[in-house]
Amino acid sequence: MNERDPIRRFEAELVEFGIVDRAGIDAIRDSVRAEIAEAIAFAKESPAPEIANLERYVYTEPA
Amino acid sequence: MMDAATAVRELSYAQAIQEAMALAMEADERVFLMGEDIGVYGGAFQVTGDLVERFGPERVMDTPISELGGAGVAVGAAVTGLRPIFEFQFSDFAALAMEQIVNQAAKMRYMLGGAVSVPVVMRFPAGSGTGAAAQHSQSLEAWLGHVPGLKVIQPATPHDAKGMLLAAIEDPDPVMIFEHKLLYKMKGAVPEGRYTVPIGKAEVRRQGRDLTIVATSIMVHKSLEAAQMLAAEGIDVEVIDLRTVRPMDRETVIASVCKTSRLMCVYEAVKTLGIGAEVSAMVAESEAFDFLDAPIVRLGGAETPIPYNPDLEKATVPQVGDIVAAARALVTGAR
Repeated sequence: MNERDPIRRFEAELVEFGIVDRAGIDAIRDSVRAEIAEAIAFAKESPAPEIANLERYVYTEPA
Repeated sequence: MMDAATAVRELSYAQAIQEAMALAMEADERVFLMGEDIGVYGGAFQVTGDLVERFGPERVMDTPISELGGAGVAVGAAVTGLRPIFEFQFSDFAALAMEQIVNQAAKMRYMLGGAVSVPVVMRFPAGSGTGAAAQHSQSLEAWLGHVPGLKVIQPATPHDAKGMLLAAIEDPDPVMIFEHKLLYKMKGAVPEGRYTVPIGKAEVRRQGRDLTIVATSIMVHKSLEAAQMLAAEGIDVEVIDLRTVRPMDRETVIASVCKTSRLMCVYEAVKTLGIGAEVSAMVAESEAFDFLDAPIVRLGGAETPIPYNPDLEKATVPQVGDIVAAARALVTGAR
């Protein structure tokens, strides 16, 4: 992350304009990290997809 | 005597489409129309007509001159539960919206593991014959037919235009409709009220013994005219209206070729790498191969852009005389 990182710059602007404080920014960053970690854990714990299901969800299955 | 719900009148192809859209909007408030100049102007080919007066500008929505933006809004609206019908002014402008059609609409359900469906309908005025030149006259249905996740249809009659559009609107997946511009004024019998014509089913328009012609869109009519002329020479042609490009109706085509032992594909799009190639391969790979008495023939458009000059334009796509000559040569073996 350098000075031109748009996320960092946006955070700085939000703080500068008093829309959110540093603690608020950190809370958002923590929640995003947690969500990603949860998704990675979900992916690792899920069974590998069945090749037999390759064509599933290309189209909506008739009810 | 038929009751009012099943009365049949003569309507033009354009009127049949308009009636289907009006019926769908009356029955389902999620259905709405989007497109360039479809409101007060009534659409580039007057298909939406006065629908804006009946349903208001919120449901007959004029979009800015950005096919990519409009198609994106339509796809998004479909994913969130609405039933948009997006009209392109010319099918050629699909090129501007390919990201939304091919990379988004066609793939969203698959990539999200079935969590969403994309019930969007897109209507594409297609084909040559109006003097609109190379950027407003193409037949690009094979482009979209190549993409799993899309359904692609080409109704050839007013009856099918209405019934297939109603089937497309109730379909949970993205359906692309290619409407030949020269068909808009063609009249035909159209039942009143709601009915659907299934996507994925071809129709035998004329029974015959000697040759199967698989034709699409306007070429169905040209092939039927050719078949009439060939009948006078004792050549009995079966004409199949393919109707759906994806998913293609294998059974109807293969059963017909098993009966007639000869196949010719007639379509307006550029001949190579198109629907004719797919139909030919489908037959060659099937049990119908053993019944073939002659090589398969494809009659498609020239390997050129569509020229502006009317004589050149006509020479670019198969005409009735070309179909007659090619069919005669195929059946009599005078190739």
